[in-house]
Amino acid sequence: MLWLSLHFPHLALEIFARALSDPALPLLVSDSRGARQYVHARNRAEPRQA
Amino acid sequence: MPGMALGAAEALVPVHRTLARDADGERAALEGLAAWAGQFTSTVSLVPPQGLLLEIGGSLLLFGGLEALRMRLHEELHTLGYRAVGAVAPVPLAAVLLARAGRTAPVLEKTALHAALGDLPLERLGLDDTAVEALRGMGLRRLAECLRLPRHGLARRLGPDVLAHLLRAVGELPDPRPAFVSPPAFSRRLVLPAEVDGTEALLFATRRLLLELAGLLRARGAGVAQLVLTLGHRGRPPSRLELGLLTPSRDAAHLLMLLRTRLDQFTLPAPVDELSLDATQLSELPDENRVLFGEARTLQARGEQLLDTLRARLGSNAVQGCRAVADHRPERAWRHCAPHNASDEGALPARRPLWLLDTPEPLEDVDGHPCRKGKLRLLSGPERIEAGWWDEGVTRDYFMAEDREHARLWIFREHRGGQWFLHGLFS
Repeated sequence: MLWLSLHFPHLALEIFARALSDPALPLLVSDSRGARQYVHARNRAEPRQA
Repeated sequence: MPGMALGAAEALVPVHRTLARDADGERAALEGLAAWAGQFTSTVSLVPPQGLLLEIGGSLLLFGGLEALRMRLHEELHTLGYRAVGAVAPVPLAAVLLARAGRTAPVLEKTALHAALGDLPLERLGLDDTAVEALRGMGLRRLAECLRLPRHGLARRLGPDVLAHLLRAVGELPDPRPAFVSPPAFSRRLVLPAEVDGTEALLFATRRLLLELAGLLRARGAGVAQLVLTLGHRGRPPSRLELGLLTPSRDAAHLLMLLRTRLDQFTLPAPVDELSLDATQLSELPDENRVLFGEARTLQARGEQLLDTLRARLGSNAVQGCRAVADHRPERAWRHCAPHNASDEGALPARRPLWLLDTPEPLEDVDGHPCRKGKLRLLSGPERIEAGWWDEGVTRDYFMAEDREHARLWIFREHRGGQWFLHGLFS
């Protein structure tokens, strides 16, 4: 037997992004651990210049 | 940026559209992918939260070898909107660990597993945090170091499950996996990160669902004859577009074209923030054998696709078939039916005009001759039709006639009263 494993590292983002015809729309997926909310994944966006 | 506090990230990049993680949606996506992957192998297993396992040993010949199969999988995943890291190994857990570590070079022999996995760090072995800490406390950093220790000592200190996990990774213990069972129907939902009010943007998302559906249908040797596309609107009831096909299909391009036709005619009441595609009834649609002279089937398929297109554009009731009915009266010798269900109850009688008038049109009678834009010339007849005594009986003599412009007409003379009528026109 031979097994192929497919790993989807960006699944959390792709379930939203795949619906968009505009790939340039910046998306950010947040998650929480207790009261802390943090960035789980994002596609693309340039940080605002100071 | 992953791991950064959300507030700080939003301050840095305020243009981001922030979405809460949807664990249920991820699980549904993974199951959708597993159903889709069934077209490549009969054995698919879920490896939540981010993975799938496909037993491909039996599929290599069919798909042209390992590299061809991997390439096809990645290309098709890309059209679905996913990117995956693929790894190949002779045991399931090894393939999973290699894929998670981003190691895509295939490992084809069990004897090569120790070398391929040995340098994986403890954090990449899929162990829980407690086991990783315990191994670290023993001064271990990598899988190879763990496997060098006496097995019974490792099992005593960490428990038999941890040892069994490590041995499964290198193929020293069997690793049976529950096979994913594909659902009996297709139902998928897409949440749109930004509201959409244009047909093209909707079709982009719909196409991805249709490609998923097509994969599931190929896996099951099935097709769909009915589809429902539901468009969700914020604060409003959803819009529902139903699509009916004459014959089951799993051609995503054809289904998309039909949905495009429906969407073009549909006025969105509000922007769309989510859509779902449902096919509750899958019909058997086996692959066709290739034939030497396949043109007839192609023409038939094109005809069916044309009918589907017309029905999508004009409405399902606007496209009808005709079937002959065993009755001599021309008005009752046919009836409407579904276009693909036009088998005849009775044999077609003698020559009949293609265009039959709803109501026979009275003709002028000049000295016993029928007239319409002048005197008609009788070409053949009479054909006596006398039937229907039990309801609306008729007794008529039918003739084929020609007018001055050489149009061929189907006329009759009432037996009772002698009145002439035009009943049909030949092409």
